[in-house]
Amino acid sequence: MPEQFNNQLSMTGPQGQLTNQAGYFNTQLPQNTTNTSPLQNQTFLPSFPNTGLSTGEVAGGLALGGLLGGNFNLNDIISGAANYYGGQEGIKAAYGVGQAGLGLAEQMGQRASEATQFKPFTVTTNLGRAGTTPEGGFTLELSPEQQALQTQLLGQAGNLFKQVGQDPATQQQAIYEQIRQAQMPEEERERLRMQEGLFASGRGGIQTAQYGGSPEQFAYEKARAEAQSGALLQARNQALAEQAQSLESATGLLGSGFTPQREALQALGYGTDLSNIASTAAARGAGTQATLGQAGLESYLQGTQLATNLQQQQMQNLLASALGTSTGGGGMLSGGNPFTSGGVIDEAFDTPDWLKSVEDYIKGTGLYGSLFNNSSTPNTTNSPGYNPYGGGI
Amino acid sequence: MAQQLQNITISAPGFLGINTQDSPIGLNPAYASIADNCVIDQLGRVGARKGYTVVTTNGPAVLGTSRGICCILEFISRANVTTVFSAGNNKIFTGTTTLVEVTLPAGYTITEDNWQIVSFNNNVYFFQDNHAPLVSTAGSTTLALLTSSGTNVPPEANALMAGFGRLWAANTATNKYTVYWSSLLAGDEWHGGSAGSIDLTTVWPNGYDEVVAIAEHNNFLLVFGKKNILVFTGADSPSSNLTLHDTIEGTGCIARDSIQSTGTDLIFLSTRGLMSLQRIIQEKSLPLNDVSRNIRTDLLTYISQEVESNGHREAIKSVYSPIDAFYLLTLPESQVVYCFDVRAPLENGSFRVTTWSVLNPLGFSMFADDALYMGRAEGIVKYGGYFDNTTQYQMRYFSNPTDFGSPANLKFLKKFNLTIIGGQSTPTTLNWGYDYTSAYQKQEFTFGSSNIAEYGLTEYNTDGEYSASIIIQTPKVNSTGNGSVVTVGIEAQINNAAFSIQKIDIHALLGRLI
Repeated sequence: MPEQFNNQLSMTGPQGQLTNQAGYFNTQLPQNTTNTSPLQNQTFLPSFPNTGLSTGEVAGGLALGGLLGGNFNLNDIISGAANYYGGQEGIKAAYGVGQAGLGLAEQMGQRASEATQFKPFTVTTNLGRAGTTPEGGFTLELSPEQQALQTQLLGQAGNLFKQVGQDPATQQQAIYEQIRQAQMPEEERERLRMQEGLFASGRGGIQTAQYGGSPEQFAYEKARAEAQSGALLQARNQALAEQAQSLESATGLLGSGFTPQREALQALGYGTDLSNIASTAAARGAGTQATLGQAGLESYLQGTQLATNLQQQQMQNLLASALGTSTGGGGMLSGGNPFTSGGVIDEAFDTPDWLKSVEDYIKGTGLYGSLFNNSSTPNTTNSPGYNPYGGGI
Repeated sequence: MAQQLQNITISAPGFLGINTQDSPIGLNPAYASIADNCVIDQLGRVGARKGYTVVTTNGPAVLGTSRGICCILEFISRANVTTVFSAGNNKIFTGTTTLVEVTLPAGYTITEDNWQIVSFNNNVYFFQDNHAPLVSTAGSTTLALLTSSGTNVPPEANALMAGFGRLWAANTATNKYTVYWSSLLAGDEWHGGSAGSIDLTTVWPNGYDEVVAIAEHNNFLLVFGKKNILVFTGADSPSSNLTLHDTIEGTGCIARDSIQSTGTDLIFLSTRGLMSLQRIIQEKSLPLNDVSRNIRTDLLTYISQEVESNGHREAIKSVYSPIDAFYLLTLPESQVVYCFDVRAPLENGSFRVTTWSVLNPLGFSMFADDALYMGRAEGIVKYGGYFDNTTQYQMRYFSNPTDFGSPANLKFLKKFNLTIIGGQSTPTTLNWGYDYTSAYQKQEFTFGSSNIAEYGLTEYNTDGEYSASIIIQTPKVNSTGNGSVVTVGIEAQINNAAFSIQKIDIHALLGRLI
């Protein structure tokens, strides 16, 4: 029975289940382990989104549009390309600002996670030690005295549970025998008195059809049978009552047996309350840090967004100054390709080569050349976008 | 010089009955040493017993060479029909004049005539050991076995008694220590209802005993063992109240049919003689009251000659006649009947006793008309008259040896003056002897033949006989011889007439001292 009982007394393990691998409880404290976050010390920045179109391709598209429109104007093409460039720069800058914000947010989350990570602790009292595990479980280690007391109480409870599990008839028989043993001496005295009376009166040998023996014997046997029946019933009730009492006592002992653990766990609760002070402070610090970081990040992102917008606006203004507008007339680069080497824009901004070669494409050798070429000038066959029959837009 | 005759009178000789126990010298001369075929008559005199007349006409035919009728019972049913049952020759008969065999159950065989026949609740029950009990319902001449089914087998008991509303039985062939009683008013119910039994093994006060008889007396149930008597009360409800009231040790019953109730006494025969139980009950300080103490040795000698079987002496029968006020005890082997006068006991507590011989009855029964019937070899006979079936019989009286108060003087008997009441042509012999001799000197004489008026029998307008109703004879007989003690006796041949000795006057001379 104790084995069965012990098997019933399983304690929670590391995953919140009670285990009883070594004795009733695993009283070994767990090794503290460090929580490792998957985001720790890592910054994952998204890559720049690529639209798939280069500036030249945009400029080419614009030139193609001019050709198709039949009113090709290089200045407009440059102006469109410049606008496109400016937009791309603005997107690039905005994306960079987003990436930076994401990286900062991840760093702040990482710091908050580190600050609020659960740290196992152990509460030690004179009843024993109760410790927590990083996984959220707990372990108990009772003091030897409490362990002995628990063993004693649980052993007694086991014995009582063994009585509870017995067939009531067995206990009933035992109680019946005890009752009968208590009754039998008086019964024997009564029987002797009856026998004396019977034999003194000469009635000892009477047998009657009405009573079997004599009426006195019948009365005696009837009383005896009634006593036996009463004893049997009393034994039955007593057996059941004792069984119920055993169950109650066993339950009480079982509860008492777990009292040291309960007290230890309660002490763990007290320790948990104390540890909550530190963890709460850490959590609040992390929260504050995260809040402040979030505010800083938002401020940074707003500032960066504003700078980007200003830069983009500045670039658009410069392009308008250089190329002119549809309402204001021509700009500084109206007469030629401003992006070529030695051009105004090139001199000012060191324009990329593809922009420098726009004119080449447009006027002679390239696709744009064919697009923008006169129909009397055949296109070369080896240039991109060769169309031997095209005369341009 | 001649001496004067002295008169010695023996008044009412023998009226104290026989006394053979005490020393005759100095004994009251009213005691007799022999009083055979005598009774104590209504006037306290020794008289001749009555004779008998044979009632049965077919006795030899139905009884054959058997001993005769041993048991007789007159049964009167509720319908007032009288049936006389008798048993003999291993048969059961009805009737008195003509004995008719009853119809027995098929295959039923009777091997003994030791029936105890009891009337109970309008039925007649027949019990004897080793025989299944029989019953005659309302006097039917067809007997049936008592109802027995399963375990309800009635005991094949040898002792039976009806009393307290039920039958009581005991003494079977295998169990002589248990008394059974039937259910109330149901003589055929022995294992149901209120039937029961009591094992007396632990009750006998003097070790083991065997039940011989059961009787009811003075509201007591009496269980007679051979050597003990158990007195029970509460027999009216035996299952609940049957209680031992008293035990009498050393006195039992040795003859089942010797028990008779006289109304005041219960008389039974024990190994110590004839006993009166009522006196035992009344006189606790003297529990043993031997009413036959005056003849104790003779009686026990005769009893010892009776055959004992089935635990008792079956052949001994008795009867109590309230009319004649005697108790008869027949000892067939000895062919002696003791007649105890129960009117009043003597000073020593015994009854006056006489003997009857020649009669040899095998059984008795008092009928409802107060007539005494007896069973004999020839059948059923009726006690009455002064002939033994038409023949004379001898009455004998002898005194004890007496010295007439002068033991040292010689006595010379000169003359006897007898006063005899009754007697009719009765041959009589006067006997006297001296000094304890049994060689008596005799003188025969015969009384006259005067007729005695028969009151109540006189036939008017016929030759009525008017004379003295009682004939008084006063014969005188001269005698001779001398001796210190004298014995006187009278032997009379009863010849169809009563005969009582009223007085004997003796004229004697007292001689010298010896």
